[in-house]
Amino acid sequence: MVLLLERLWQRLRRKKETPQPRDFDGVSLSELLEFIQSQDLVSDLKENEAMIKQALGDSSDLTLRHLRFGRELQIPVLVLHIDGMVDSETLMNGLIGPILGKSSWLSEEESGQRLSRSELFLLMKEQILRNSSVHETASLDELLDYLVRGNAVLLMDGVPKALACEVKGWAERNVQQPTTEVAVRGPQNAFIENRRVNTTLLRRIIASPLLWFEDFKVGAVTNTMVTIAYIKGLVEDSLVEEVRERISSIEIDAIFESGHIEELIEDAPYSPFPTILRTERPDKVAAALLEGRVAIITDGTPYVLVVPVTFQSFLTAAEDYYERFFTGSVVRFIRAVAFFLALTLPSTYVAVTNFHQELLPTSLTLSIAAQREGVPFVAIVEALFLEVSFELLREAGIRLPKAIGPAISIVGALILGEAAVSAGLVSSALVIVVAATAIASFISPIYSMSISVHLLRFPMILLAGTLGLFGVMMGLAAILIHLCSVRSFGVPYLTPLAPAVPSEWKDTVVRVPMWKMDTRPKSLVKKEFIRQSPRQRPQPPEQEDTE
Amino acid sequence: MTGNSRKVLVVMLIVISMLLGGCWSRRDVERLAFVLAVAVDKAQDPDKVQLTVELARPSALTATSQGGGSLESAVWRVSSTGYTVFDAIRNFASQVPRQLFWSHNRLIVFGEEIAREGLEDVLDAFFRDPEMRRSVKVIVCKGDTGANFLLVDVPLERVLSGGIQGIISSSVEKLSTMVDIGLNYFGRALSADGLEPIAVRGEIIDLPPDEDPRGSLERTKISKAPRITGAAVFKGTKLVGWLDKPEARGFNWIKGKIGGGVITVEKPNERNKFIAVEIVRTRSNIKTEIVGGKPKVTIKVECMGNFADRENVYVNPEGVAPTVLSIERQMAAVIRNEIEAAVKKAKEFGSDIFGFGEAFYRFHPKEWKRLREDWNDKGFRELQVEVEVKAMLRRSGLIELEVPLGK
Repeated sequence: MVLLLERLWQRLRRKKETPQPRDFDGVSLSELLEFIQSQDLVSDLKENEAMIKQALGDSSDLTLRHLRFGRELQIPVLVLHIDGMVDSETLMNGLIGPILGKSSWLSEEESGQRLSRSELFLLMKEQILRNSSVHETASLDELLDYLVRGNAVLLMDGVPKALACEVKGWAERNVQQPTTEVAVRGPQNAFIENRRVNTTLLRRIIASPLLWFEDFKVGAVTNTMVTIAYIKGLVEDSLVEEVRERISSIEIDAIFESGHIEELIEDAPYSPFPTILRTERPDKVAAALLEGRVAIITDGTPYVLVVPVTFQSFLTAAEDYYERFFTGSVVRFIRAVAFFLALTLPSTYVAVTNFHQELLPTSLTLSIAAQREGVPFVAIVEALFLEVSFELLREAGIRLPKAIGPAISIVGALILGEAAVSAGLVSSALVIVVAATAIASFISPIYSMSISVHLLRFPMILLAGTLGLFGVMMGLAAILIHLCSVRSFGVPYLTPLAPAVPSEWKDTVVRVPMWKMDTRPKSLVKKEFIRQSPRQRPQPPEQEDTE
Repeated sequence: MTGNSRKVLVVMLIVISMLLGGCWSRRDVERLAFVLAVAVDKAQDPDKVQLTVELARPSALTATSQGGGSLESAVWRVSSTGYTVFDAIRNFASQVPRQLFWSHNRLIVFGEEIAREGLEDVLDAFFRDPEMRRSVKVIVCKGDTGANFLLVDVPLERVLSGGIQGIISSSVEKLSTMVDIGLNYFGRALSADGLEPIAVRGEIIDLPPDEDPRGSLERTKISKAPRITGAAVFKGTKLVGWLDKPEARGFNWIKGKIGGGVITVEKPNERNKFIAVEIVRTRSNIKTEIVGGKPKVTIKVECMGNFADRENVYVNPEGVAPTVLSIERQMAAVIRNEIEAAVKKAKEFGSDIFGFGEAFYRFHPKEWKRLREDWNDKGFRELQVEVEVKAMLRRSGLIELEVPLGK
């Protein structure tokens, strides 16, 4: 009965002080958020506690710890944290332990003088708490934000402020090897889901005070932290401003992955080609930063975005720079060829077998003709059929549980392919073409570019099937025109080929030796164009003739 | 109309216009009958022409010889007649289930009879049809019909046309005692002023009965083989005669088309003992002048050779240098003889296969106007031809000139 009365009284009181919303039931998300933002902390600890509990709906993981503090332990103190998001040892040693332990000491110290509550609060912040970072806040909104990000919050009776203490600690993946961008030589670590760890990985590569990070909070509900990284003095300030503007203009409820951000800030949303590079390699991001690019690190995903990028960036692997330049250049060249093959091989096959039988050497033509004898479909149907089944296999291979993945790929690739050929459903020449194309299309170190090429093959096959090589050329011309018109954060996509920037040709299809890489990309860096001393070619020391 | 729906309309127009075109003029590669060689002869009906084609059978051609090997013929030879070549080609449709495809054709073989009568009625289709390649070899079968030429076998190759092509290219490289003429040259020679056509000469030779080229596996009727030597000389579109091996090489010397070959000379001081010199590099040059109102041609030929082999041991007491000199002199004599023989034969036929007339047209256009009227029958026959040959013997290999055989 008393309880009921008390609750009723509380409710009435709340009604009096905070007229709306009276109850969280039946109120929309945006109104609730607005309400929380409008609330400020009050002096009364009980009231603050009620406010927080109301905002969090008394969630089961909210943990409260009531303490008493000060002379004769008459000051009530409340410590809140979210269970599972804090390191309990840090919480004990940094927060609860000192408060409880120092209480007696305090009472002796302040025996001569009587400290006000706010002075005590300051004392608490500056002398007692041992946490690495302690923030003061007066708004409910900020307090809750600290709370849900794994801080412990301390409230003192009589002070309309709170202290947020850094005690984060939760289960997390370790830094591991990259899974999508493997390198034989080079650093073997990859970004993880924690933004702070990711910035650390960058800091450890670039130990410079001029590596700057800027935080943004994106997503009305998820409140995802997004950090942009750049090297001050190298990067064009206008570029940073552009990135800032594009990220802060995002108004969305949730960000789960950098892909969301990518789609919201990219230059050419309808283009089949990605205009933002995503990578999980810290060394790649560091190299991009040193070329005057900006990295966008999103909390919760190991994929970091890099802007601006050019077409060439997608045919570049970090390893190109770690192996000697001959190797790097040859590999680059192979990638360029593979890109072209992946785009045109099936369509060229269709065009040649349907329209241009005079194009191939006689024996090859006859061989293809022999294989196609008895195949019931026309070449274009056959090609589309095989390409689609390859896409099915690829997709199935990714989604399948690891345990049955190999079985399916054996059934799919080996048995199905072999059986289809021997049953005369498809010609073995086309199987070879499709397999070669599949291999070629995955040569791009960046998966998103591989997928673009994959998808572009289908319109190319249709063009080849209707218009022959003329159609293939039209398709290629259309792609080229499109590539020329796309920009990534103001940089033309085909730089340095179109527009031609001769000083950047050293790092395109050919990768010149390290001692020749004297300048940074002109299209990105204007202030610090020179990268290194130009006379660094290693040579044997000049010897005097010793007879 | 809003901008967006206009965009959609443009895309639709492009897609629809593409799809409406459909797969126009599409032909599946397996629905084609690949012509590898064609023979053109007179049909029994004197107004008609007979075409015989060698069609590839892709499945038999590419079948690997698993399990005993397939001895199935890789080609199918089929004939058709018509009033014109195009007519005859269309008439194949009543016998051949697939569309004839000509781009992979390698040979055109004319029977001697039709070649003697003139090819003006049958050549046009081969130039006019876009599918026909200008690189096909033009062969005249001496003493037989083209159809019969297509019936012989080159046992090493599964397809006759491939075999003939191989023989032609290896002959050019190793012998040069024949000519290598494609349809393009033939047509150019027909249309050019002061140049007469020439063609490859093919023959069907009988093999000795005990000589079985296929070994013991198939002791059947194969007793005929093709041979490519010499050349067929045309005057206009009519075949007028043949060049034999040395004359054909003489033609090649003049035109600078020696791909390689062997010059056999007698040993300097021994009768009936021979030395072979391999031709390594040649250069030829035709110079035209008008001397006293009469045309004159100077042919300059340079030839560089390597010592290839010789019969028996040879020791010249005078030393190496005089030996080399005397061999070089003999080489030059051989080359000169071949050139002069070729010119003599061509003059007999009254056919300027060397293009001397064309050279006059180029360098003496004014005089050519006067000369061209009766060039083949008078000007060319009375043409003064001077031959200058420079022969060099370069290398003898590491064995020098002597091998102490029999010692």
